[in-house]
Amino acid sequence: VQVTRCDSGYEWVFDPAERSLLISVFERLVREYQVAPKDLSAEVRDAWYSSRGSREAGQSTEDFEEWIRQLRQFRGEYAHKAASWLQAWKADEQEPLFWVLDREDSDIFLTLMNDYRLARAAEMGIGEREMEASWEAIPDDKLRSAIAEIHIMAAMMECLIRLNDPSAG
Amino acid sequence: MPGVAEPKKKKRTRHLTHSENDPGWRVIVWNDPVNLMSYVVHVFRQVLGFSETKAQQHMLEVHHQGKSCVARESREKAELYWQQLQLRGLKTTIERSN
Repeated sequence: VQVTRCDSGYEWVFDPAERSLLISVFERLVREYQVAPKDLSAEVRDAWYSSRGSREAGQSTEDFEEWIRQLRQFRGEYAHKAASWLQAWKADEQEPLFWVLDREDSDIFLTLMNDYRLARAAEMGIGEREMEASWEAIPDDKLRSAIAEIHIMAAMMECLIRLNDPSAG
Repeated sequence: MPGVAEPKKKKRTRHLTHSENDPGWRVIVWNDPVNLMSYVVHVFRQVLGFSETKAQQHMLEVHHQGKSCVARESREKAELYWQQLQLRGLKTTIERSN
């Protein structure tokens, strides 16, 4: 993955394998954003629609339901945005992808990648130990694959955050 | 870079009381093993308007001490921060200041 600043935002270059992963990640996000919180796995629900602190904050049931409705509304907007990106990414899938992320969408792109990391980590029970483990210490292929995706999303996020920093060259 | 637009809120029927206008609510961000340090700093700058230095300080407090109080605000403002931070994946709660 390569990314550089351009006039309107950030120009990304993905090779076909990276492009395929990006499509798979965002297709999954779009699907899961459309699922009602009550129908998500408990782990993903807790990652995206946590009730943590609700009781301590004195939220009524009505307040909490409104809170979740608003979080869903945001994610609905994200799903819409991601779907429009996917349309562009899916043309000529066998080729490298050259794609410009508009500057005003970079916060959403970051949030989406982070949501994916949080959901996969929650669902696979990935914590600090698994994140820092060597490849050989992770025997399960599914777990290894999830950790790899989490690290790849992290690398992309780091690139974008670095470029976002006005003090970066 | 602009943040994500706030969705239109349903009009609330309850009225703000004096206590809800007091800056007596603390916004707490908790440590977790998945969020990147750089991302936490980025979110603090975006949502809370922190300088790089201040954002770094709070991120390190979260990392080393397990949590950081990032704001003391009115109930409404604290709730807004809570939601914006939670939406970006940071484990956040609010609590009444003692």
